Amino acid sequence: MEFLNHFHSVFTLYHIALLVGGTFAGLILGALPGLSPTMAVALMIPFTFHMQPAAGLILLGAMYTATVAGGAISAILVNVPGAPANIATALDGHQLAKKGRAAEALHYCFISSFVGGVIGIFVLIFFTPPLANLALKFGPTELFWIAILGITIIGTIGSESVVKGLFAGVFGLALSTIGDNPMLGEDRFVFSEHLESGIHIVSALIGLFAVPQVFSLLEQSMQRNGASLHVVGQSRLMQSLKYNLTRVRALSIGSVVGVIVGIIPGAGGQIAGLVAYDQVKKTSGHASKFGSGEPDGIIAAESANNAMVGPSLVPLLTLSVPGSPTAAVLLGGLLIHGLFPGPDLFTVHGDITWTFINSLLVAQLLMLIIGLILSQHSGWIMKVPGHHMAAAILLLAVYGTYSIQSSYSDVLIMFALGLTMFFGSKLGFSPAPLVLGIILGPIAEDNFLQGQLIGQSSGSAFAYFTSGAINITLIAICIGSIIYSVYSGAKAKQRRANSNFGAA
Amino acid sequence: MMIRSTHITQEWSAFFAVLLGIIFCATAFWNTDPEVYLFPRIATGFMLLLALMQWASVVIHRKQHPDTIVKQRRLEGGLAWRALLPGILVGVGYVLVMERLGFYVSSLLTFVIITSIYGKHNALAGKSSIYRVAYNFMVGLIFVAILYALFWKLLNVRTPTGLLF
Repeated sequence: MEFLNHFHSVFTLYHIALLVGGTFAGLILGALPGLSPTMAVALMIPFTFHMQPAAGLILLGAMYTATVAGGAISAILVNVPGAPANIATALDGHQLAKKGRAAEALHYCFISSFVGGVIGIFVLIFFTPPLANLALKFGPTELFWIAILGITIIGTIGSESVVKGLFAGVFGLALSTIGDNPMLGEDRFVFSEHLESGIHIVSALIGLFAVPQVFSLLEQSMQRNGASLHVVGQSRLMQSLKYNLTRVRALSIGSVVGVIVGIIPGAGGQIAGLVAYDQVKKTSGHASKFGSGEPDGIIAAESANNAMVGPSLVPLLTLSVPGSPTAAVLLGGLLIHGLFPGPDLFTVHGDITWTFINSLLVAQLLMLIIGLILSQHSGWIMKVPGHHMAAAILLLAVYGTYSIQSSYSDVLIMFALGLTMFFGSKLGFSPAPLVLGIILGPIAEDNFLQGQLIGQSSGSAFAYFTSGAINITLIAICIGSIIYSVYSGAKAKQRRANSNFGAA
Repeated sequence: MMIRSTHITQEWSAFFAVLLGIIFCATAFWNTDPEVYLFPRIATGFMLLLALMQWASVVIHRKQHPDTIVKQRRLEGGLAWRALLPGILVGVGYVLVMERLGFYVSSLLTFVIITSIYGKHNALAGKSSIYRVAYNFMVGLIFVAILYALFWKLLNVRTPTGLLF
């Protein structure tokens, strides 16, 4: 129950102000169609750079929680999910809005998000410290394989194609080597003065997540076909609350699915919402009502995608393997504050880590309160034009990147990476493995070089890297995740081919 | 069936991956110190290997389905170049001139130009050009003022002032 000893640190005026501001901004950014939670958190990192680590992480955590829940607003009102995690919410949420019950749908969304979110944070609180102790047994080879595992899992599970995902991850690794060799100090790939310091994590995060969004918004703003916005209407909160809390099956299935999917590295909220929706529909006595405005559909999807938030940080804080793309961005946030995942987080930096985790619990409550207030006035958020959002994100991206080191080179690198990623995403490449490659690259290289030296002195570097129970387990998980992804991809392809054949 | 050249296919993605793999691999291996470039050599080697695997899957798919053109991931309408090009040019221009012109002035200009170009088909579609630009200028001015207060005043980030500010 160590977390209780650090609760008072959350309740300072400064931290509460950050929580309220982060939750409010996160709900609005999440509600804006096209702005993903990952991008919102990435854009916020430069602001946290100038703060104390605990304060910075509190702001990022509040943003993460709120953007996931905020995405439901646009899913319900305009049938455009604010984030991929809210796709399942739109299925019944928008149908309910069409019936003039948008306010009721929004109530279900925030109440379920709160319930799922709190359960998820408790999983984070109780599962993280024992897992972090496991990391005490890690030497250079284990840390090297952990870095490779993180990239492999995000590359295989989080991407549309295994080979493309892995390619993006390895490309990130290669990009991370630009600049000095960590042992010998000699330059590598430095063809311009702008590359002398290598690629800063923040330049990569902002460039890869924010800049492609700018061009996507501009592209869409020329072709916008005017999605219909439904009026929020009136609904009694107490009535919604009472009904919501009686839907125990939908809430519990959603929360359990969210927790499981969150802990699995690389899966993310989109899968959590859809799997929970599917399970509740299958076990429901009135499955035919799903898709036409069934509250259980919203409750399951929203409790799942918020229950995923806490557990997605379990593998991140213990083993530096993020549970979702947004958690990968949070890893960048931790590293720029000099915090490295593992047991030290709970011993040396225990006050910062527990304050951060406790603040996530408070953020859930704030998300519920602010979300319910905001839901009555959420119609105006939908009216923010895409081209204004795009211009604002571009400016924020440039300022944010520059503010880290006052470096013009960082801005150039950020923009070049972003533009390349925009075209890369058109070709089916995902930014998450690329970013993780850049973030984990230095960790992988440092430990690889250390392990190589130790291995050579003890006989064989190869044997040193491939022996020991932890190394073998990590290598097996890497290979297993690749095989599983290839197998499930082939199976899905086969199913599609069969259904096409049947239709023909 | 014809596929317009703007439609991006798996073939293009494999082509660019191989190209990138070759460039990086050549840079890491060509005339470099093996000790300094040890890790980059391993990473770029894997990059090229994965790119070639991607290329092989495209070739195999084409052989298995000789009558169809490979379009496993065909984009809806491809790249909207006409819509994108002004935005890309303004973005590149912004990044290039900000140091000389000054961060805040170039930011305001970028905001006004982007919103005026892309706002034509949106909320202010019926209004005159002057009204649109004036409206966007006011919105941009407020936004840049907030940035100035946040970065310059609160976070003490000194941005290059250039010729103007």
